[in-house]
Amino acid sequence: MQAFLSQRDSGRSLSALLSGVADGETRALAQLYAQTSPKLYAICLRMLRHQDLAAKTLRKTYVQIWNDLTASGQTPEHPESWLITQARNASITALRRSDSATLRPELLDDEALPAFVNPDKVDGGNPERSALMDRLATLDDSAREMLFLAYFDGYTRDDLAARYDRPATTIKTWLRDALTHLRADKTSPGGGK
Amino acid sequence: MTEEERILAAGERALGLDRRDIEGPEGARHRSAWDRQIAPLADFLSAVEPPADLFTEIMSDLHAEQARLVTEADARTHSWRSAAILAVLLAVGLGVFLLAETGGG
Repeated sequence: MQAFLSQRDSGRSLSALLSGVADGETRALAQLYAQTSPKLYAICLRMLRHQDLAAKTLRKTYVQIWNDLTASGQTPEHPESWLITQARNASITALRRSDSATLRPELLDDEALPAFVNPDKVDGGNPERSALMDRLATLDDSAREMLFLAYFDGYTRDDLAARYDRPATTIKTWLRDALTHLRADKTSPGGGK
Repeated sequence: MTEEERILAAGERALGLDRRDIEGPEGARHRSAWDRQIAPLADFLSAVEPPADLFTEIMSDLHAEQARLVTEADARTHSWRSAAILAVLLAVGLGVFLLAETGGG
């Protein structure tokens, strides 16, 4: 996943930066932040649609990253996906805990949210992403849209059921079909390599 | 639940549809594989610069937490020291009492 690294060339790989953070180097954390925060903030902002809450969630995410790595002294095997997962998990937690009635007046319009781009145009040559794109391209439009709504906007099964006016059990079946389609390697868990 | 169902349930957790805890190391492995597989979706989003002073606030949070941990550690050390002093005083008191009792007997 080169998109993280291509935004700013800090000279240190993500693995090296995470290793530095695990050793308690605040300089490594600063470099990690400079290199990854625009992407992680986009994830938080897209899901939460609220600037202050997204900033607060990003702040918590990096504090958690520091705490986890310094406590364990170990670095994750797949740094990019680990970082994305940290930001998404923090955003999902914030979304579920937030008081939507209070936040509603400040929620961003669709136009103000991070835009969708064609990742292959931003940065070519990532086999894992290309393979995922190929499988997404062969999904039907509504299945792809549901995956995106869940992944980027934090829709639950019930949210999707309301949006598509279908029972939650039907949504569950559709999503499972879509996930089955997405699995890269049907012989290994989650399609992992 | 079959293995296939467990794998798909882990996929649902990775998407954020299901927030139930992962069942054991096998569930965690499935979830991690899904996290890795769908992570490239994030490349669909254009990057956005966070607020300018956010990193300063993160460092401030970390310093505050560090200070809290030091204070807690100090408090623990202080309570151990107090307990040790109290134990020594009690032992001395007991010794003096026994001496007085045996000397007086």
